[in-house]
Amino acid sequence: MKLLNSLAYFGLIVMGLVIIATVSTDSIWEDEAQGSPTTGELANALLLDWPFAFLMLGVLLAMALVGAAYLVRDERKENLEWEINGGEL
Amino acid sequence: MIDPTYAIGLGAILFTIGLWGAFTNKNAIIVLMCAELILNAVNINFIAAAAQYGDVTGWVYAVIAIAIAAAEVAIGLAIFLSLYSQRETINLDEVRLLKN
Repeated sequence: MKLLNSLAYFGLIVMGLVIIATVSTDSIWEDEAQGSPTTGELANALLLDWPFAFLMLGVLLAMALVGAAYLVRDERKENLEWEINGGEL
Repeated sequence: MIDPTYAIGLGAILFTIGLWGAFTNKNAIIVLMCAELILNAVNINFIAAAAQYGDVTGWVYAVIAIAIAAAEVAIGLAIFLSLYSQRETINLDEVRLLKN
């Protein structure tokens, strides 16, 4: 088992090195960097070029929040009674 | 400006650390954190590519990835909280069934 673990660690390290070597030596990085876009361009892109994706992100976040609140709801008896009685025990 | 090659190198290192953590840890919170590391590594690559090409699309992809990561964390933590209240553990080796 220890040998398997060591092999897995070694494989992950090798994979990391391969990823670094592959992405660093790609030809797209040979040209001079053209500089970061501005935040105004980001705002324009989000609201004008990607409005549907932006809307869907909002829906996704809202669904995630509702789902998380539903998952962590507390169903203990005293809490249910507190809700039914309008905040009074 | 930082050379984008350094940024993608950092992204690759973060990705490997995240992958290593997600594969080797049994604690659900740590696995979730390592998944976030992987997503952030991808974001760094998007930003580096945006800087390289001067194109804002990489930023848009990064914003989308950040929002998806936020949703994932919200649901993940809620699941772990629910799991802990039912089984009093978040050790992933002890969570094998998708039922109570």
